[in-house]
Amino acid sequence: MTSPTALSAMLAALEPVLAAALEPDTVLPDAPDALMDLRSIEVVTLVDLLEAEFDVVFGSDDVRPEHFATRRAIAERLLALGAPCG
Amino acid sequence: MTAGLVELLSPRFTLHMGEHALGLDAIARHARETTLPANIAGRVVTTPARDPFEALRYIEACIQADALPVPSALCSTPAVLDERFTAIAGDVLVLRTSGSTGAPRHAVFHRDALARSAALIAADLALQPDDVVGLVLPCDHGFGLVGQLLAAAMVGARVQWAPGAFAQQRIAALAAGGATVLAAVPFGLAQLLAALPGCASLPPLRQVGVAGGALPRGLAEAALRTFPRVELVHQYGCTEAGPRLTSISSRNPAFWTGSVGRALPGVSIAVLDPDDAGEGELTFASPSAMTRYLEGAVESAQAGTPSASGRWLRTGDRGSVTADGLVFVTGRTDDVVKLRGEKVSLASVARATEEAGAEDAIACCLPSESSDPDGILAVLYAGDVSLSPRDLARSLPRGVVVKRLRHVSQLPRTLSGKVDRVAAAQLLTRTADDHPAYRP
Repeated sequence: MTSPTALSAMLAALEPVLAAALEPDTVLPDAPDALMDLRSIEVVTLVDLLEAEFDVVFGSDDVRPEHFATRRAIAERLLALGAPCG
Repeated sequence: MTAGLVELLSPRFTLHMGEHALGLDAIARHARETTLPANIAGRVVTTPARDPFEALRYIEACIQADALPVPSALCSTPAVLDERFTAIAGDVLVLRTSGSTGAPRHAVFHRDALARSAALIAADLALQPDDVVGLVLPCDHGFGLVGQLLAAAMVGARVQWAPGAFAQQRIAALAAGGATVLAAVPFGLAQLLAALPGCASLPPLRQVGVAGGALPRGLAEAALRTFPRVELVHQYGCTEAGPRLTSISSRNPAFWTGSVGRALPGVSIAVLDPDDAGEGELTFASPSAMTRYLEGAVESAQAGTPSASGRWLRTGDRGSVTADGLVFVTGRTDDVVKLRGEKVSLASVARATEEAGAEDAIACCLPSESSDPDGILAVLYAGDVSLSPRDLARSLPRGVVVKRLRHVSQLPRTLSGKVDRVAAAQLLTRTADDHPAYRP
């Protein structure tokens, strides 16, 4: 069970990475459970940035649509991979 | 009126995008209805689209308007634009390419060169009207646009666009569409292979083309283990070439020597200033090559006598050609690396790091500890600033990220005062715990 504090910290840490990874014309609703619609190039950039920023490694099973559907899903995946939360 | 591009393509060609099946008539109709945005000089301002329908519509509309598409990024100086970037009749496409200095350049293509190039590639790949070409590449690069979309359209093959954001989605779309032919950059192929175990069904592939970077032997072997009946085709070229220069099949024993194959029909390849081992810069002449750069005249490669194929152009790649014509690419003549199919200038990455606040920086490409065939981009920097990979993301080509960014009190230097690239790479390879120069 993910701690709400850890999740909250991870969501906050995720924001600047999302901002750097997304194309300028991609606008995402700013809510943890809002569905995101990423492009393939954004997924590639985001995975690489998350690995670099949080010192984790995404396996092929981690790079799946359900793990990138919302901010919360990404944050939970990062925590599951052992990323330090904040 | 100039004949349109669609008039050169097979009337059988159909483009499948989701629920839509589009033929040439739809593309031509939409092109006629398209009002291309004009810049101040009255010329077209747009960029080639990643979406295949938009890309075809765009090229056709440019032919009908007899206007050259000029990337909007170049339009900040309209007076210069008006003077220097006047369209020449028949030039219909501009593709962006990373220059060896990191400053992008824009290669201009004539309609006939595009058609020649697409026909040449279709013949080399033996594309057939009953093939289903699975398109996962963006169409703002020569590989996807000419090497797949137009090549398929030339022979009347069906194109199945499979643009999913995730490899699993792309595989599902390829399988549903019955793709028999696929092409990818090495990283994209590695992604697809890694995602296959979780997929319910696989496309009935007969051929996979790979270009846009070195094809590691391990990746080729993995692809053939997964698809034992597939023919792998390693293709080599560059944007300016239109884009293909050589090709080799995995069924050719020379494929496993690391050669990128022999020059395609009509293409000439020569080595400029070869050393004792026969290595030098690879130059080429091809009837499919670009007309010019938007930014100015094309520098002549001066590689011996002019070829029947036209001017000699530089590739920036280092390599050799054997007596029987096999081409080997061994690296670059500059500090450009290929990542995710994009050329990335290490000097420009270092500059971007300095612009972000570092006093001094050097960029390297290191072997990846994972299965990433491209290696990883790494930067060592000094200065009173703490930088993060996300600080540099906007300065790099799409999809390219600095995976390792490390701070040192000062960059290692040789006795002559130059930054010591070997020592820098060693520092970047070590972990922070290994070396006292790192400042956490």
